[in-house]
Amino acid sequence: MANIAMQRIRREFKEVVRSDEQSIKLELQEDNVLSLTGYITGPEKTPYEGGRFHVQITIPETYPFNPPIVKFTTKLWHPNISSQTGVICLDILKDQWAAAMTLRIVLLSLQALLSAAEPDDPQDAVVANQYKTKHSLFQQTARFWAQTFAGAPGPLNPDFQKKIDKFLEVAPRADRHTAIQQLSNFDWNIDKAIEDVYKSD
Amino acid sequence: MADASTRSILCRYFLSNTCRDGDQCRFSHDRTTGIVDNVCRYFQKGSCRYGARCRYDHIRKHSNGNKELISKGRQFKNDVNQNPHSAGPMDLPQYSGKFLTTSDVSSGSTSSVRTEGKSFVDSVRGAISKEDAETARLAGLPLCEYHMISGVCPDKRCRAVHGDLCEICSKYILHPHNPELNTQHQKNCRETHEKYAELAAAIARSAKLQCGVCMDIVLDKEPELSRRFGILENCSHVFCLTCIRRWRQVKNVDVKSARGCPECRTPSDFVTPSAYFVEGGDDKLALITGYKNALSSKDCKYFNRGKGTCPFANKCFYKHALPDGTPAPDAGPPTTRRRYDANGHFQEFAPDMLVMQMYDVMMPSRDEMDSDFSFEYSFDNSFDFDYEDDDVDVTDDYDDDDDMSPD
Repeated sequence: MANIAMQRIRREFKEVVRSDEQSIKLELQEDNVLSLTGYITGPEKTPYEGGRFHVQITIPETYPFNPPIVKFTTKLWHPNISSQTGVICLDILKDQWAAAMTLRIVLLSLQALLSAAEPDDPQDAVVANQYKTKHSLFQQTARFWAQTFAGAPGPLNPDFQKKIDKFLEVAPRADRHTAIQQLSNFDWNIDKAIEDVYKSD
Repeated sequence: MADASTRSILCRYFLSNTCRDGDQCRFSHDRTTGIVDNVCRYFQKGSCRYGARCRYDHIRKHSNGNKELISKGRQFKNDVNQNPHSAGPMDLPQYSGKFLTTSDVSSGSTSSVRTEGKSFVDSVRGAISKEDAETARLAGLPLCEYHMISGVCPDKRCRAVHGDLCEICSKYILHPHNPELNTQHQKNCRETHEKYAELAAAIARSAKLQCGVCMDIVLDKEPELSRRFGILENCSHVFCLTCIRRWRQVKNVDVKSARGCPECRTPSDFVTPSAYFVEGGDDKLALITGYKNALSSKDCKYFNRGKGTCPFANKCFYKHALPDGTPAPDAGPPTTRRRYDANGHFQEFAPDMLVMQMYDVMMPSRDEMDSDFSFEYSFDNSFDFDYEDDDVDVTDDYDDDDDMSPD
């Protein structure tokens, strides 16, 4: 019954377009109604503030009886979102989905997830661990990621910048993304990060 | 010429207005007092060519003087009382033979002329004056059917009464000489009218309602068969039947979510189909009761008249009866067993689950029958009555067994 899915998406698309909410946006991808791009802006008073995050939304044929498949295409440092793949751990996108939910609700829920993480039900264990044990470092890292990947305003953390440059000197084959990922994973401990790179080589 | 023995018997020719003897007739020409003779003379002589279809009574006289009724003829009708036109069904109750039967029609009224079993004439003979008799005679006359429907009667010689217009049903059905009958008709008419008005209002209220799942306006859906609401027991959110049923059968969502309302997650055990939306209160209660009653008259296909076992046991909405119609003995409440699987996880399973799974494998063609069967058992402890691939509808005809055909 792709029909219901198509009709629903068309309606929901209009709903989001018409609504005045500035913080969420929805776009169709290549004329395919079942594949969309969503944008959310980072909520205020969070490390993600001012950032613009892209999510890729794939609508299953069985929508709305099954949830849409949503993942972040913008890299993001968050306990419930995989820093590598952008996969989201959110109950309403899994077994708590309800057929009356719409894409608008999904986007707003993602926004809510950014402002209220659930470190006890993590998608990315490393991030969750940092969130729980070194919260201020987590916030700095998340901010750095948001500035680097999601265009959040403000000066970048100079300490982190230096470490990245140093990392790239030592491991010239790695690119900047890898450097950030690697350093973040090791709580910006450059020695451990580099050691890990060579270990895996 | 006058013969005392026949003087009290009503003249048959007079009744059909064909008696040529007039005052000289040996039989009574008084409809109020004459006794109706309804015995077939041909049968008395030994043979009546009409047999059982004869309009007169076939009574055999025994040598000992007793009479035995062989076949009852049509009630000997006072011909004026017969409709002069076709004998089609009338909206008014049919007059049956006896001279006046207003009592049949107005039963329950306080009329003093009401009689039981006996003809009106017998019971009040001599007690009423000529004018009363005339009024009563007029009141007993049937209405002309042609005039009743269109207000025009093509038959110039029509001997039936031409009624007055009832403004509710737009028929010329009010008897000019029988107010009692009119009151009765108007009462019925008003009740019917109110019922239709209520239904129309309910449908009008539902006209703009949108299904929370497909977001279509339910009463505008195509095909027409899908224009039905699925009413949840414990909340008042609007869904079309197809969507809510499909939602409740969704498999890779948490079973508690699926059994809950897609909007508010309030769990409901079953869905009631309805042609219009009911918000709650008595209407909803009546709808659900009607639905359950309708289901309970249908044989349960799991129980299969005693040949199978129904996992819903005594909680099943469908009829559990043996082939001879006797209700099956109470099977007790549905049972689930609990066990721990190899990983130590707590599991619920029905005793018949393994059997059912085998059944699925053996008879794949019947998978739609078991569609939500293995599903319900592989999950939760709560017993559910979503027996939803089979569908009985109280508001529609029982025509929608294909409703849940796989998409």
